[in-house]
Amino acid sequence: MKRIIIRSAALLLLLLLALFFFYTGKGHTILLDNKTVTLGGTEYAAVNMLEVRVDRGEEREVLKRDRIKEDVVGQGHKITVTYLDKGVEKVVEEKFRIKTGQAMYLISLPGLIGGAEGWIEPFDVEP
Amino acid sequence: MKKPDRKSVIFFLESNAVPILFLIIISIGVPYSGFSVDYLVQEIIIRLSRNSFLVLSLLVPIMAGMGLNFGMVLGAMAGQIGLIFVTNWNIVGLQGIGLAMILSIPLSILLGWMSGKILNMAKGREMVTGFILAFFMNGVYQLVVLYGMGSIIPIGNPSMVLSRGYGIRNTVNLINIRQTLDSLIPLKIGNIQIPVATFMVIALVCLFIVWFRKTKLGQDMRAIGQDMHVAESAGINVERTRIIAIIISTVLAGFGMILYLQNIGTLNTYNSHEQVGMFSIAALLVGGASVNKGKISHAFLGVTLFHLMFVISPMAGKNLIGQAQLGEYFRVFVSYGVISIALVLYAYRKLKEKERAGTALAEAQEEK
Repeated sequence: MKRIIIRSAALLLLLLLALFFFYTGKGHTILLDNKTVTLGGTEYAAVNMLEVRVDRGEEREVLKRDRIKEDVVGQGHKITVTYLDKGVEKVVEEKFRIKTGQAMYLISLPGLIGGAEGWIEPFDVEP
Repeated sequence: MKKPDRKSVIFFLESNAVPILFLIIISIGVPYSGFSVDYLVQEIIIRLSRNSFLVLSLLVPIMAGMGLNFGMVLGAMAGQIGLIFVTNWNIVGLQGIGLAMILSIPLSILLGWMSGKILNMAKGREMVTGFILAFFMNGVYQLVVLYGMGSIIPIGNPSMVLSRGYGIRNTVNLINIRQTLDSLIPLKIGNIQIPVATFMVIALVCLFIVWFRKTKLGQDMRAIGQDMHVAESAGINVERTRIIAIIISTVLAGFGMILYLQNIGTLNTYNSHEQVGMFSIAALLVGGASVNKGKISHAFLGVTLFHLMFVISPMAGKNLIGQAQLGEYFRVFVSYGVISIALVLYAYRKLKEKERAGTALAEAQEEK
């Protein structure tokens, strides 16, 4: 009986560890988009130049009408966008979670700055 | 007839013929290769971190008297399947390595159990049986990976699947886990980089082997390795213990293959595992191990000598006769050659020991 309990516990531990590795190690692609977009009936205009940092990654410049790719790991993330608004530097910070089953997400940076609802949405590539 | 003095020079040479032969080849080859000491040290450190785990996985079956586990290739296949899934699911970094290891465990246990069962039916011929078993399982592996994956087993990553829609491509890019463990704890001494974390994992396996030898199961394995019939008479379940030895070796080989491939960064789906068994066994034998004797020190010395020869032979060949290809031929020739030499030496020693025992018995009877 003791042997069965120990073996079951070891198996359970292994399973939990596998799940932990799966959820925390799952890689996702995030597309950072700086194009004019209409979200919820409101138009959010592209910004001339933005500086974007996802989690603790390096800061990247996104020019107007640009779309860049960022690889992230895990589900919980933080995005920091720095831009100039009428000569004043502004910083927008948002936390977001992504689903494990979704490989790619599109973030509309003008939408994020403007406080739109659907600034992040799943993105699927046609096979 | 006098018993051989273990400290005598002849006995020492006889016991360490293969490492001495390699030392001679290397000491001739190093000056001809023209490589700097820094370069050679760096190469050896990389190869020690890459291969030691695989070589250490061979020690447990030797302890149980099952010889050199050519069936370790089965574990390597399990490790590769773990890596294919991890790459398919896009699991990154250490988590990818960990998950690949966990996924390889059930496969390794199943393959090891099957291998152990078969080896129990072929007692005394374990090595050749393991060798042929590896060939057989390679066919099964290819069937699963080439036809099963993408059709029966879902593979969502299109970059991994052949253009026909099923089967894994010849090469899988392991960029997600490439050298993750090696670069986890960076340490640079002079121009030499040391993958500390990988060596820590290897140290853990060494500790496991040292601890395992002292356990009841380890002692049983040693008893079986010394004399199977005596062990059986003493109440040890020989067949079960032998199966466990092979399972442990196969699981460790699976882990070793994952560490090996995380260092390389690319998986040759249909080839990577093929020569792993041969090269690991050759390395262990070069270190001074034999069919019935294997220590941790043999593994490290073997990897150092064997891979030092690997590094220097192409350049030495090129500088000696103007063809680097000679070195390539040479290293394959040496791999097979060293296994042959070790097996011949083992048979020779066994014969000599029998002769000595027979003579000693005859002398004892005469004295009576």
